[in-house]
Amino acid sequence: MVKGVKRSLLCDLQNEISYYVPSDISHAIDVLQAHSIAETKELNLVSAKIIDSTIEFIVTNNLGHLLSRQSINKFPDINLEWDYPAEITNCIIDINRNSDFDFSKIFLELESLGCQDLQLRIEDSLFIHEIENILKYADGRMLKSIQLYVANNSSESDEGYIGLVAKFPRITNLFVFNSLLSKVLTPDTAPAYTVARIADRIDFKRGCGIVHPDWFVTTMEHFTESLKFNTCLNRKISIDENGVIRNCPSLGTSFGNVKSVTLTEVARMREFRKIWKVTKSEIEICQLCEFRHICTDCRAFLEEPQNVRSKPLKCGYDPYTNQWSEWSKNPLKLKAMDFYELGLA
Amino acid sequence: MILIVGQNGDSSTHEVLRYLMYWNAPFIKISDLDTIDNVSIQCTNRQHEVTISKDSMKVNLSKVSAYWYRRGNLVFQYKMNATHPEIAESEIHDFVKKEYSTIANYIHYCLEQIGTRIGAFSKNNINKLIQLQYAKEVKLLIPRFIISNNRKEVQRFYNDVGTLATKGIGNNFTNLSGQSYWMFTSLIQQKDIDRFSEKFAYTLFQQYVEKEYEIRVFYLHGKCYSMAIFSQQNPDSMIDYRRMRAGRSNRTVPYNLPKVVENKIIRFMKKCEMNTGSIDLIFTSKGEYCFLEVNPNGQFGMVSKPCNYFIERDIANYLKEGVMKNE
Ligand code: SF4
Repeated sequence: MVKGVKRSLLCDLQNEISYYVPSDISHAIDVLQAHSIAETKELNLVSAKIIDSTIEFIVTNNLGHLLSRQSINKFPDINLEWDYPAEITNCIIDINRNSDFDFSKIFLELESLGCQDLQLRIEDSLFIHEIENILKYADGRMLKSIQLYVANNSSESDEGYIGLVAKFPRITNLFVFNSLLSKVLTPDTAPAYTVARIADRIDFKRGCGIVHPDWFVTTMEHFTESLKFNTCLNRKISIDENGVIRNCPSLGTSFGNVKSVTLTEVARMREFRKIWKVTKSEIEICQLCEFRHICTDCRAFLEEPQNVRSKPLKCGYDPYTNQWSEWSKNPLKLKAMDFYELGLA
Repeated sequence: MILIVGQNGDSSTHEVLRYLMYWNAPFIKISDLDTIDNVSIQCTNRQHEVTISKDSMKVNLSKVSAYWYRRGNLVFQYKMNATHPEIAESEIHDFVKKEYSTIANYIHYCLEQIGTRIGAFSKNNINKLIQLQYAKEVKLLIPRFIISNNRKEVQRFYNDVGTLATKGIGNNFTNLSGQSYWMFTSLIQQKDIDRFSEKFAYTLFQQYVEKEYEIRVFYLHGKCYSMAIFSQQNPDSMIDYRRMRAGRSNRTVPYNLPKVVENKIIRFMKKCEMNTGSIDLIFTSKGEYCFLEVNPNGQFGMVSKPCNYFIERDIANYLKEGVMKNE
């Protein structure tokens, strides 16, 4: 249960569902954690009516079971540790026509860092055979998934793009942006991958960082990671189209270029890892928000750009009122948007 | 070096391997997709050496200091088809196959002598009836049961204990004309007994014990990782939680097993000569712990994940420490 300033959130991590809990019920749950129902009623800290509705809420949602008093100490609190067997879990590489880094070396290094998931974002309209020339280096590496974004090349066909994915089994998604029409090219009953065309242009660097309930993750991994680490940046690394290594493509700080330093060196730098440890409990407003352990953070676009502890700019939620609003229409955010050049063009 | 024998595509095994890689602990994994194309056993007065190879990789068993048998078997290549096509289909071939299985058993035996070891091929099919006997010997409560092939006897037992449960005596899993079937635990009431023939194939009938919840224990070298499974509010799975409808999952939570029960489980596992396994218990509505069965290579992921126990990491660590101790 995560307590917010006005209400709480009860996260059922097994079923990946969260429930809003008003504060009187969350208080009752607290007391019930250590006492039987009869004891709780005797304590008189919570009204009998609230206790009954709490029990009803828990039982009907399959969140708990009525057992005898002796059972209490047989059910320990769950271990909230987070661990992951890799130095780097995930990497984003931006690529354009002029990117001339050594892909074979990069993929090999990512493998030795234990990286499982890779996102490649190709800004220019490369031909499929040019893309294949990059992907061939990922073949045979121990990656779990590759997500691929490419700018549409009008001389390539739907079949060509599907063929590309079929050739490299590690690709889980291919998005061809800047296309004429948005459509999914793989059937619903498709193999393990999706290929889709997207009509929009995507501004990767400035478009990222949106906080929205659609992106909330109610899993054990995410929840426990958020207690100690930054859920957006922990154990992640990125390389931009010129080879510059960063925590994330949208963050300014450079940690050198793949042409002169290795990813392993950067991944082990104390300075590089510093931002991994910025938890929601240190971030203003978020620290009072009931969504803080299922929400993803963003350190690239802040509500107050000069304040490193400021909440994500692109979050429209106010934990004091429990209201969501469109973040980009909020007058208080306009100044920060100017700072990041996020015009509404 | 660490040697792992397992099945391909098992995600829990994969996670253990990822921890080993993360710690730079060298290992070799042999799965059912790998074919052992060469075996060399040299036993002379001066030396004793067993080597198995797959592709170009050689494993000298004396260099293996930690061994994990997860599940599956070693697959040997029969070169008969290529070298002697004329006997490939003949009875001689069966004879050669038997020779191979003797060698395979010997290799498993050698592997089971390795100092740091988790699991054993030879314990794969531990007899359910012997299990129940051992459980009784260490004073774990077991449901009363009979094995019977006639209605009269079942009727007498029913009159005595009430509702019965029945399940496979050996395996719960069978292949019929290419289709896999799970044998689920089903309940037997009077109306079912009325429909029985006088005589039938031998069947296990257990007293149906009403449960408050089930407990699954993953056991690893003296340590019990316990999890309670609440299945009764889900009518589909009241008898057997595996029989669950997709989308309605039973609540599974970490559980503290009383020390007395844990000690009995440890003694039970020692009797079985097993250092790992998944044990099913029920906590009865009378407040007693009742032993059902042990599965030598059950899925530990289904206990580790919901309880956040990191069993994968503990297994990897056990193997890694074994290597440090022995090398
Ligand atoms: S206030 Fe912070 S924690 Fe809450 S939803 Fe917004 S970004 Fe997430």
